[in-house]
Amino acid sequence: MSYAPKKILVVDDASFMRTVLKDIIKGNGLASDIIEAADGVEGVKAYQTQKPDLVTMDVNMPRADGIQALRAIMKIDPAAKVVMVTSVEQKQIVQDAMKLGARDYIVKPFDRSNVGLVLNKVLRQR
Amino acid sequence: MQTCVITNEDLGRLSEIFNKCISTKTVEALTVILGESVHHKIGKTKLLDFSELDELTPAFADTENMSAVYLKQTGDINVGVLYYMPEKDGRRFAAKLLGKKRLGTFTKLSKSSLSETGNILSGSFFNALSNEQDCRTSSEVPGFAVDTFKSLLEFPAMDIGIETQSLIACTAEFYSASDLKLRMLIILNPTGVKKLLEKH
Repeated sequence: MSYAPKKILVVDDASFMRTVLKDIIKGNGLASDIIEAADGVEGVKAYQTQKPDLVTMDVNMPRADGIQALRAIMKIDPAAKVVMVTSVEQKQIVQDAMKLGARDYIVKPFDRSNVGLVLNKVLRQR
Repeated sequence: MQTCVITNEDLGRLSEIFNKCISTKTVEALTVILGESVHHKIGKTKLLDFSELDELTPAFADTENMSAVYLKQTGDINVGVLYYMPEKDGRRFAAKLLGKKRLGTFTKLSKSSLSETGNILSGSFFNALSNEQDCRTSSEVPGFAVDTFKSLLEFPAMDIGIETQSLIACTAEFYSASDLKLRMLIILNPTGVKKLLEKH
């Protein structure tokens, strides 16, 4: 499989979720380079230094949560493509994230094919 | 010690609420996580004094070590949820999540896979509870441990029931098509139960 020459940053405190998302990204050939961050602070730093094409951002994380990290990233780059990763109970948080500039969201537990579709769609956006 | 009277009617109503939330959202979430059909059974909701907590120990968990994930939900009410299964079943469960045939010992990734499963199942359950009873809570970080059931229960029991020296407990059992079994123990204190039932 050939990968699109894209860079995706996966921000999640759960190593298992990072692994699952990396598998989906690889399986769909969405990126040639996948970077990981284990919390919001690391995520913002990684965004600044790596300039990824897309970010998947978990909501519940230690240090800085997904909303705080999203806000910081949008300040650095208002055109950033961030997809929020949420649990089903977080409807209000999703709405807040979309207002802050998140492009889309995916809900845990994942339907793997749907995650691929969402990430692909956002990657193609301007 | 706080006093709060819980009636059999309260326990019955609570059972109905738990059953509704679990049979819809929790089972659905576990089905997606495992990629196979899941059925479940819900036990009676009981009011137990701290001296009666042994009643919660299933026969198979008397001597065997359990793998477990504990999550505390805080907000309008405090609720503890302990997910557990025999250690060897936990390894089988994690192997399935990681797409492996078997797992020798628990690795950081396999512990994370079970913790995240607990996180997702709790998210589904408490979302349903919020819709059902207008009860807002948020989850704390899940903790994974392997120990005897009695030891595993000590912290959650103290965490939730210390003020009242009693707990309201309900156990749900989940069985997957490939024979994976998981138990979910939901615990509240009497004050939390009253608040929850009054919220409807």
